[in-house]
Amino acid sequence: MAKEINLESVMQGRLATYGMLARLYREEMDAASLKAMMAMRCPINTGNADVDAGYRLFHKYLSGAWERTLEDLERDYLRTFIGANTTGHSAAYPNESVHTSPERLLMQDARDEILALYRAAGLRSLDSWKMGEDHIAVELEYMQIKTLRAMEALKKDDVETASAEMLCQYHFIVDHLQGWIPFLAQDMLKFAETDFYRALAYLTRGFIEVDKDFLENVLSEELEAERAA
Amino acid sequence: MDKDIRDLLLDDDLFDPFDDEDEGEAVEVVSEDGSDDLIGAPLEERPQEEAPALPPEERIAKLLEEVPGQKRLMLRLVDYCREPKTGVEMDAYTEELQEHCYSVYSPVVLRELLEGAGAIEYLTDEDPQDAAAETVAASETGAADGEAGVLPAAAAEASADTVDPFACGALLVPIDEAKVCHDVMVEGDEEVVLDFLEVEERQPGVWVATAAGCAAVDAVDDVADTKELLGKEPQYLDIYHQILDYCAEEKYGRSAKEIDNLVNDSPLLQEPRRYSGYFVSRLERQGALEWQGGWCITKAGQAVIEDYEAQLNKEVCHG
Repeated sequence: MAKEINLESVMQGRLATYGMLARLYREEMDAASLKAMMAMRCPINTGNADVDAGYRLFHKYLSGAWERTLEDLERDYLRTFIGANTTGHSAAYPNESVHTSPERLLMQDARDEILALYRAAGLRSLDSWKMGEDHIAVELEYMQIKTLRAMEALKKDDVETASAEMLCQYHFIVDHLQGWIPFLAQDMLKFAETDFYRALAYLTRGFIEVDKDFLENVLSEELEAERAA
Repeated sequence: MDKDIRDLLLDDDLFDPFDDEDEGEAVEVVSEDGSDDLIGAPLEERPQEEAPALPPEERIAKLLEEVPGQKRLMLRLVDYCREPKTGVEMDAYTEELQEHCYSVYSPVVLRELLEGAGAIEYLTDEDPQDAAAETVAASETGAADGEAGVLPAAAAEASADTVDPFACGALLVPIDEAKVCHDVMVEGDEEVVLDFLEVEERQPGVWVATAAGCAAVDAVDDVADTKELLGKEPQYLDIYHQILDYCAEEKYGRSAKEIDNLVNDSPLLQEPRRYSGYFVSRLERQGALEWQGGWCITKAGQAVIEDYEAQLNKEVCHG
């Protein structure tokens, strides 16, 4: 019997995608994550050029995986996101503050705003996390948690809570992710040497676009009401 | 009355965190030479000159010189894959070798270093045996590494003629429809077909020593190297032989402390002051001793002892 595309299945897909993206940015690949990626099915013809390019590149890179792939990915993670010097232009810095502050510094206004949003959602970063709350991995995990909360609310037929959670997500995309991820993706395409991290750049940029469109569709009434108010 | 220290400081020198005089003004710092290699400005991208590629013989020699502590382990790895070996076999053998030879290099990185130097290569051909046989045959006939892969002149010309440098397919190739999976989903009343690509695991290849790698292994003569070492320091000949004999007596080797006790008090080592480590490290580097949880004699070390004894006997007979 054919599977049904409904709100639940779409939310499930969003949850999985945010989870995967957050993991890929959080730290270097390990054997378990690579194995999971190898089992991934790469959709083609999704309707978004960046998403398609991302999955095509993931498929190409992972199909050529061999014994040195993990080493290559560890090095490329460091090269892409950390870089080799301190000019502020030597890597694709994964923190929002760098891309939204004039001097390209960490811990700027964007991080303070993000911190307030996490607190409002009853979340805080782990003490062991030292990369800043505006790191892309944390922002994507925030989206993942919000998706999960919306799904749980939908299961309980609590449409109001689900809408509120998704509305938060929409604003988070518009106010934050959309504002800096294109720059991050551009830098990733410049600094990454493996197709894996180039794929990640395309997929992230494309998925945020797709997800924003989805939320706009689902929340059309709520957004209309907000605009009217 | 003593002055307040703050009276001695100029106001301008004091840092006031609440001073908002410059707020909103972008700090622009320009270096004297006009370059702007400061935080916030991109470094000028200078094209790096590519060093001319060295032949594999030189790259291998350079690698072994750069990591003397791993030299023997690396050469053993090269020797091990004279016959094609899988990555798993190479991992297991490397770990076995590393039992008494700690290294920050993982088995994969060691292979990467050897591959980069041209000592081993990874073959993924459908029939790697043939290619491997060619490589080993080339090594046996003493052909240089580069020659093994060189096409005959006519073939090279023919391939150059047939390659179109402007042809498409350098980056994008058509999707192999046979490999596309289709999922039929239902959205409302409509059927939607979603297409997916599944990742196919690559067939693992094999590691094979190159001709240059085999030549590097064959060129090692530990006996001659040890004799050369002993010949360079004739004043310590007795010390070297004491250590070799002492280690040869014990199957499981000798501890550093035991060797210390054996030679450190020798009058030969008082001026200049030398300790056993000086001799042990040199013997190890030449392949006469190796660490196996204790300092053990190697075959080369044993051969040096036997040659020395034969020489002494000969001298006694002649005397």
